This record gives sequence, structure tokens and C-alpha cells, in this order.
Amino acid sequence: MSMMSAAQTRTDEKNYIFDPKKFNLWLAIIGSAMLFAALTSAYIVRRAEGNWNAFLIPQQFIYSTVIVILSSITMQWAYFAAKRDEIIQLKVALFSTLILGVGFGISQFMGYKVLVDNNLFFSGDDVASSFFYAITGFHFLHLFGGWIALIRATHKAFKLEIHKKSMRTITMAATYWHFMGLLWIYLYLFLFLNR
Amino acid sequence: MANATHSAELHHDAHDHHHEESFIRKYVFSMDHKMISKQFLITGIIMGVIGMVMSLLFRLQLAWPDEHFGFLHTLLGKWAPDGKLDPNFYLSLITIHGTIMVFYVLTAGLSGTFSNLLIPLQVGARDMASPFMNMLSYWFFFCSSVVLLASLFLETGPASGGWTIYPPLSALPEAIPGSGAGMTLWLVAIILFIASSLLGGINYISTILNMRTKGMSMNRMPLTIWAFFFTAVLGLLAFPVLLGGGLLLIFDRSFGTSFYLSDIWVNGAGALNNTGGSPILFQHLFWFLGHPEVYIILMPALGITSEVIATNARKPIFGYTAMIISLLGIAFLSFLVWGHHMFITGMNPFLGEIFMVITLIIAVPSAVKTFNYLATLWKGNIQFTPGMLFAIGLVSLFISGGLTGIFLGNATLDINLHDTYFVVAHFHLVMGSAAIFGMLAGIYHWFPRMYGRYMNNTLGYIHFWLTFASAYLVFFPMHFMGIAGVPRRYYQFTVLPEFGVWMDVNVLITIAAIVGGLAQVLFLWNFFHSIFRGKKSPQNPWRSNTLEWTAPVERIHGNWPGEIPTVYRWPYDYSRPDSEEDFIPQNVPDEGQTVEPAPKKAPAKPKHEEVPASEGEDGPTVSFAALRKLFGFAR
Repeated sequence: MSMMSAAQTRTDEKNYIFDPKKFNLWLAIIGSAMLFAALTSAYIVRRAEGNWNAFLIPQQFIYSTVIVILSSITMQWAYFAAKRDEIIQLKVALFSTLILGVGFGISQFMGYKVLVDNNLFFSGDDVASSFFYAITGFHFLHLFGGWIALIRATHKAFKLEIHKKSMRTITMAATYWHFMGLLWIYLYLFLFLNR
Repeated sequence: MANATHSAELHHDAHDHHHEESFIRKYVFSMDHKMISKQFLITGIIMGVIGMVMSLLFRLQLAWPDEHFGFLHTLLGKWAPDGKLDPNFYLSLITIHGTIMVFYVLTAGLSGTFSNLLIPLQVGARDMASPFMNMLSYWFFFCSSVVLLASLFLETGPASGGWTIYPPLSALPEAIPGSGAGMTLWLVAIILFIASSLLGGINYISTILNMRTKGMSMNRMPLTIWAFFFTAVLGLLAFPVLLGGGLLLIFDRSFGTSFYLSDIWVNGAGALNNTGGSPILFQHLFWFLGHPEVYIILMPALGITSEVIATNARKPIFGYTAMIISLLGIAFLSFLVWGHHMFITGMNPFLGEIFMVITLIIAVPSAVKTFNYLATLWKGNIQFTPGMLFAIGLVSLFISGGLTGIFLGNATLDINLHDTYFVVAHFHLVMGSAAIFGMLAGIYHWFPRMYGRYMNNTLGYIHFWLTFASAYLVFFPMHFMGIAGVPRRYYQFTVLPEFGVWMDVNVLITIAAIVGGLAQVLFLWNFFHSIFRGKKSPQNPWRSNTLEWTAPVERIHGNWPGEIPTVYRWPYDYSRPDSEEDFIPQNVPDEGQTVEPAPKKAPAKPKHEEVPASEGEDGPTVSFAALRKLFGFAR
């Protein structure tokens, strides 16, 4: 240890093929995708067995889809802004992503409210609505992770810790956010086409 | 999180020179992969002992079903009134035995220990990609173990629906007492376990792909690393599916949904409110994990065996590339065969046939591996260390257990053999005992690396022969019971006269199991005694080639005091005819090989390509280039 200095460690790190932490995030995304692959497969298998009360997906979930697309655009804007060292743009973009992210959550929640008003509950013998709540609910849990990543990135942006030479936080937040958005679009289309 | 880890690392590096880590940072919340591997190992051993004692308890019941053992009452209280096991508790024992052995010992205990120990050391990295996630991985595992063991103390008993927890049995507390709070704790424990497994697996993959030292291209990695790599990939793809299945089961049990439950008639309570749930759905989700899971268990053991056999036969591993491709083949096929656990669920016979064909194809890569082990042993200068004996034992058990897989993989034969002792015999040999042997081989082999001391050889030999004999004596007779139709998981066979003829066999099996259990006491004594009092070992006691033996015995953060060694060759240069020494470690350059291979340049050709073809037949030659292209990770 005595011979190994911090500088030594850094030269070792330069040999990494990919940044290990970003790579870990990609692997986590693969794992998460497998969870949703399992749930949507289970949905198809169960639906094929009949006894299935199809229902119309409330409009609010379309709003969610639009919001999530917009938020991905602002997220990407934040990423580019950081790359160009445009710190003010970065802050604005991150902040609007955060607001859109919260908006997505509210929109989802209002969608659930419409479902409940129509007597479509998570619990009970109607498995179609149970699946809907379970699948979208697991996605909602992923949103929390996205919020935390965004809040951290925003916090760092305000401390001027994100710029073109320090991109890891924003890259990881953007990667995760885009994944969450794509996942939602997939889930929405899946639930819409297989209802 | 990443930020926290990063600053912690920097902090660590900056201050390591002048102060010792606190006890808690060093031994409890350690982020050092070597300490985490010891934590996994010791927790795994403790869980293994608990699982083994459970198996002995239910073996007592099977051998002497009408006997009353006073000590059982003392030990288990109300679960053994008058010294005879309670039937429900018998079912709990087999459930928790299976769960502990499959998940806690052979997944976390095996893969967790050796992936953590060997990945950074053998690929030449200072630590894992994220030491913090690695620490979390262990503590999730620890919490999971605690929750599972806590369920043993519940009033209604632990989960008792079998380790496969099929609903509706596992979903209805009315069906069996263990499906109450016991099952809830089981599910919580498994979800924590999945979190641990994913955190660990992500790190293993990332470390192997990104953090190899200079010159350590993919085609120079030891086979252990290849095995851990495929294991981690399987875990990453399969465990989330079990998570999904388990969460839906939790919803059915606790939130009143109908994913798996339908309007089942419950005695005294009428029909359930649920409609249309499909219990088969759970089986699909479960076995989509469950089948890769058996390879998650087995593959690390196969990797360890490759390494131990090559080192102790003092020969290059036979067919290095074939070994990797067969691992890849097994890993890939394992995702396509889950249906062979479900042949009798009423699946379409055509579908069953497809599952059957794919299942039988797995015999091909498995046979490739077996033949390669045997060919490596052939004419080797074999050093019979205890580790080597266990590795050869794995090959033996893998063959005898694997052959019966060909029977069970046939959909038609499976109608007869399903849920009989034949199945029990098959998987205990091919996956249970074989993987345990691989784990023990690894412990004996890498004990000097972990603790700087040897384990006692004589005790090791006695341990091996008793364990080996008892593994066969316990599981071999079960094949015959299974062919005769004796079903698994039954509490007492005396009530069924046609099974009376098997009573003597059951007694034999139980006695063999007790002897095998006592042999493990020798191992435990040897293990814990050697940690403190074992003979000190040199840095490279087995004269092995891989990088972990180039690091000093003392536990230091960062593994190597100076620069990380550079790799110049594959890991199996044993008994090279052109060399004085009978082994050449990976970090030794050939004469004329550049001292500092430039990064991003294709690795220098392995030396043995220059050996005349007649002598180098068993070495990989042309296929190296193909592999390099295939993975594209060579620098």
C-alpha cells in the first residue's frame, strides 16, 4: 500500500475499457428490462387463458406518454448543454425535466383515479386491471429512481459540478431517464395493443 | 450513490498511508473484495451446516418413521412431540433445506465467495467496479439469511410448500400452516436475496469486461473467470423474472389479486373470491429462473474444477476454447429448457417435444466439458491434493448425475419419473453434490490465498473419501426407489404397503447421510482451526500460473503493492517442453516479447503456437483468432 499512491490508482483507472459505473447502470437496465419482459409475458399468457375483462385505458395515460417524451427531449437538451458548458441552459433544462417528471407522476396518479372511479381496482378478481396496476406500478417505482437521479444532477449543476469535463452524473441520469421513458412507451403500447 | 463511492475511494487512497481502518470498516462494512468473499464464505458455510442438519432430521424420520427420538423433542419442542417429527414441520424442513442449499449455499456461498475473491485477483484489478455495491450485495444476503432463519421461530412454522413454492399451496394459509407468515418471510427473504444477487452479478460482469489488466485479453482469462462471467449473466437475466413471479405471488397472498388463484373450494370457508388465476403461470415464471439457476449453481463449480485440475495435473487444460464455448452453449440453452420441469402440467405435446429436444442438446456441451476434464487428467503428473480430489469428485458426480438427466429430459419417461426419488437422486448428484464438491475444491485450493495458511491434508483426505462415499451411498439407491415409483416429499412410507420393501434402503441412506454429515464436522474443524493455526503457506503454494498468486499473502487494499502485473500469456502454461520450470505464470514474458505491450494492440500470439503441431495438438490455435473477433475485447 505504501508504494501505491492515489496517482497510481488513477493511471490504473485510465485503462478501463468503459467507465465501470456507467457500465453497471447499463447492466442494471438490462436486469430491469428482464423484470418487465417477465411481467408482460405473464400478461400475455394469462390473457390467452380467457376470463379477461378488457377495459379502455384512460386518456390520462396518453398525457403521461406525451409528458415523458417531452421530458426526454429536455433531458437530452440538458446533456448537450453540459457538453457545451452552457451552464444556464443546463440548469433550465434539468429543472424543466424535473418538473415534467413530477408532471408525469401526477398524470399517472390521475389516470389511476379514473380507473378507480370506474370500479377498476388493483385488488379483487379482475386480473386485467390487477395486471395494469402492477405493471404501471412497477414502472412508477422506477420513476422514483429517476427523480433521485435528476435531483442529484440538478443539485450538482447548481454547485457547478457538471460541465464538459465532468459528465458522468449527467450521462448516467440521462441514460436512466431515457430508459424510463422508453420503457413507459413500450408499456403503454403493449397495454394498449393487448388490452 | 456512485458519488458517495467515489469520494469514499479517494478518501481511502489518500489516507491509507498513515492510519489503520477501523474494525467496523475492515471486518463488518468492508468494501474490500477479499473480505467480502470471506464474509460470503463463512455465512455460506453456516447456512450449509443448518441446511445439512435439517436434511439429517428428515432422513431420521424417513428411516425410522415410527421411532421416537427423545433428543428431537429437546431440540425442536412442539415440532417433534414425543420425539417424532410433526408432519407439517417435516414439509418445512424439506422446503427450507432446499431453499438454503440452492440459494444461500450454492448460489451466494459459492458464486459470492469465489467471484468476489478471484475476479479482481485473476483479471488483475484493484477491486470490483463498485466496491460499495459489492458491500451492499453481502449485506442484502446477510439480511436475507436472517429473515429466512427467523421464519423457523414462527408459531405457524416456516414455509412448507417446497422450495419451488407452487401456488395455490404456497398462497393459501388454509392449505398448510407454513403458507401463513412463514411463506411471507420466505418471500421477503428471497426478494432480498435477489437484490443481493443482482448487485453482485452486475459488479462481476462489469469488472470482468472493463477492468482487466494490461495484456489480459478475453482469450487469456482463466476458465474460472469465464465461468463466473456466464454465471453472472445468467443471474442478471433470470433473477428479475423470479422477482416478477414472486411479487405477483405476494399480491395474491396479501393484496387479494387473482394472478395465480382461482375460485378454489376451501374446506369450511367455501370458495375463494378469486377467479380465473393460473397456477401454471407461476410455474413458467419460476422455472424461467429455476433452470438457469441450476447452471448458476453448477458453472462456478465447473470453472473452479477446470482451474484446479489443470494446476494439479500439471498440464494445460485440454481444449480451452471448447471449454468456453461449451459454457456459452450451456448458458444459452439453459434459457430455452424451463418447460422440462413442467411436462406433466398438460402442456401441448408438441411444445413438450421442443423442450425435450433442446434439453437433450445440453448433453453435448456437458459431455465436451467432461471429456476435456478427463483428457486434461490423462497422462498428467497428478498432484493429489484434497482440492484436486474434490475436483475429480465433481467430474465423477457430474457424469453419474448427468446421465440420469437424459432419462428425465424425455417427456414420455418423465410422466413416470416425475416427482419421484429418481428426480431427487438426479439433481442431488448433478447439481447438489457436484457443486458442493466444486465449492470444497475451491476452498481447499484457495484457502492459502485467503488466509495465508494450508488446511490440514490428512483431514482433507478423510473428509474427501467419507463425503464421496456417502454422496454415492445416499443418492445412488434413490434411483431405484424412483423407478419403482416412490414419490418425493412424503412424510412416512409405512402407511403404503407397496413401499415397505424400501425401508431397508431408507435406513442405509440415512446411515450414509449421518456418516457424511459427521465428515463435514472434520471439515469445519479443519477450516476454522487452519484459519488460526494452519501451517503457513508460501505465496504460490500450488505453483500455479494465475495472477492471484502473484499478490502478497498479506491482505492489502488494492491487492498489489506496486503496479498491477502485466499479462503475457494464457493461464495454462504447465509443463512446457521448452521451459525449465514446469509452470510459467501469466505475468512472465517470453524472451523477446515486448516488456510493455501497448494497449489497444492485439495481444502477442501465445507462445505455444510455435510449438510443433505434433506436440501442441491440445493447445488452442486457430480458434483463438475467431474468439478474439467474436468478443472483440482484445486490447
